[in-house]
Amino acid sequence: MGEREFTGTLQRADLGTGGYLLLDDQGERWQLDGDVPAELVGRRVRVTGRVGTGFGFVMAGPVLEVRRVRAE
Amino acid sequence: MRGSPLLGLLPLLSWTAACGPAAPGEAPVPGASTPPGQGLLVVDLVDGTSLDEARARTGLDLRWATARSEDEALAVVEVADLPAEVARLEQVAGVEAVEPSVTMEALGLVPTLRYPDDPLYAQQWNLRTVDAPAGWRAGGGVGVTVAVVDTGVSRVPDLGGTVLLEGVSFVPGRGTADDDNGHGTHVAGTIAQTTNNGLGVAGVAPRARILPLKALSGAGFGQSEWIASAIDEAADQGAQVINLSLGGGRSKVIEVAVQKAAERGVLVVAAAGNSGREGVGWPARSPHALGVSATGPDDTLAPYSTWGEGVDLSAPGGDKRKAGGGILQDTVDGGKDGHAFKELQGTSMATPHVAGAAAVLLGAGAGSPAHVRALLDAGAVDLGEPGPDPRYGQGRLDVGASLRRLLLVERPSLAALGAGLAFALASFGGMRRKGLVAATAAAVAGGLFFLPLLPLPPATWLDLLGRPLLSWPHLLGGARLASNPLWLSAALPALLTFVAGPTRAFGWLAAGVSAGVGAHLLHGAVTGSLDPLWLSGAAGTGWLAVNGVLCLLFTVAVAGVDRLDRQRRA
Repeated sequence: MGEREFTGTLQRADLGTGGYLLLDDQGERWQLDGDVPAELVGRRVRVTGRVGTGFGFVMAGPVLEVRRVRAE
Repeated sequence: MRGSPLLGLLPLLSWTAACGPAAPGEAPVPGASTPPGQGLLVVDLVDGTSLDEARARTGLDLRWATARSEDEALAVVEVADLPAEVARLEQVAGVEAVEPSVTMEALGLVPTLRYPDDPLYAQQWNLRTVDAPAGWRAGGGVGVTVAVVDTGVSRVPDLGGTVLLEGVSFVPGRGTADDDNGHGTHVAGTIAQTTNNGLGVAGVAPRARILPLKALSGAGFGQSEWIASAIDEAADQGAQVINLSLGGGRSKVIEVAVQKAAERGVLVVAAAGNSGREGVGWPARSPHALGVSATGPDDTLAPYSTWGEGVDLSAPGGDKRKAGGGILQDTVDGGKDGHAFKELQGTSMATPHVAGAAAVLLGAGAGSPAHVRALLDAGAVDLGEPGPDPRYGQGRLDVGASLRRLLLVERPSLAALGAGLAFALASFGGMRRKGLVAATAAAVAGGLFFLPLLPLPPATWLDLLGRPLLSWPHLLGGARLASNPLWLSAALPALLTFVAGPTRAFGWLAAGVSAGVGAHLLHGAVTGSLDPLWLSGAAGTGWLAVNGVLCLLFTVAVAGVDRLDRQRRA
């Protein structure tokens, strides 16, 4: 599956040792796998990446393999 | 593990563990949060010291320990930091001895000390909720290997006395199974944190062995092939339980690995997920895995827990909205000490409670994953809607109740079955010493389950005699042998029958052992509590049934030989 851009709010998940989530504009929650700037937590962001097939311990939604996260 | 003399008493106390909730070592109130180090200090001063003098010397608001303690000048006081006060008072003139108060309770004939001494145990509401102390007294998962497929496991200080097997990493570019995240070490701690070592916290099954299998990266993600390979490795290395505090979308590769592991006699425990919605993830959803949802300190479903089809059981996963409501364990940390005691929450934290409980039950002699699941289900505390439901499955984990089922219901039933069959068959065959044959069969089938009541020093042979003959290999470190079809067969009774059966001195032994093994094999065939390797489904049941009947025929044969011998001599 190719790369896409997702928009929504960046969240910090307090699950296990923690992780980042994107709550997109369609109400879907994604786990972000990749470099995520912590200072953008709570802000609206644009995430460039592709839907992943991986597994993880956050288990709060499908995995999004992140290439870039920018503030909107 | 420190405090081994006390740990050695644990098998002796298993009866007490099984008999009721009022047992030593249990903190009184779930959720109570005694600060670490706080407690009652006992100070023995030079005889003749007055109370005022004692207070002035120590700077503490001492009171006499009992109404008769003035003569011995034995005083007590509540302090906030026991270790610091002990260290300080040891230097004070006039103080002969000082130590934290030790609870000595009469437990039938066996006195015990307060257990465990881990200072942060008071904050582990989760362990009290699932009655982990009952599991410690019943062996704490001795001899059982639990594979932790996760971010790796590192030997943090409070895993110092835990057996960590040599790990394997399946993450490309990562050569060792050391934890570079902190998740896997925390999970391993809940399963088998070193307990009663005077440090930090406790775990559910501290005598279980941990097999670290790194299949998640430092960021907490892993590919299906890494996880599937780790599951295969766990089964190859003889793990009896696999903990999967991870999840994601459906993966055929992982499903096959889970199914294969289950067919090889491994219990796979997996987290339901943290979506807060209905729709359990994989691999928890697999019919071959035991899916676990999470509860909080108030014993209701945690708000983040996924629920729905695939939830088999629930266990404490924590709820950090409440102060002290997370699951506390020692884990790796980027700080200067390299480790920290952290409260985490998630179905990741609930799952290892169940994996640890499974290890405890296997260590206590449960014969198969199906048997463990049946015991877990039978012991679970029914929450939510009456009966099984999509939020809690069969209910919330209760280690003590599951153990009581095994030790106080199943073992005596098996012993009675063995004795009854032996007596009937020996009578049918016309044998002398029927009572001895029946008693032997009872001991072989159910073990001498009353042994824990007796004030005997701890010993492996006592542990062995306390359990059915067929589960002896579990304790001797040969779990695979315990499931070997040759062991779960009429082979040993056949040998005894041919060697000892015809003898006047030991015929009763051959007849009794044959009847006891036969009763256990037939019980296993009917209930699924025995699970011969390589023989799944009907093949396994048939094997157990045929061999069970053969064993009973041996008893009849020995009885017949005994009768003929008697007639010949007459």
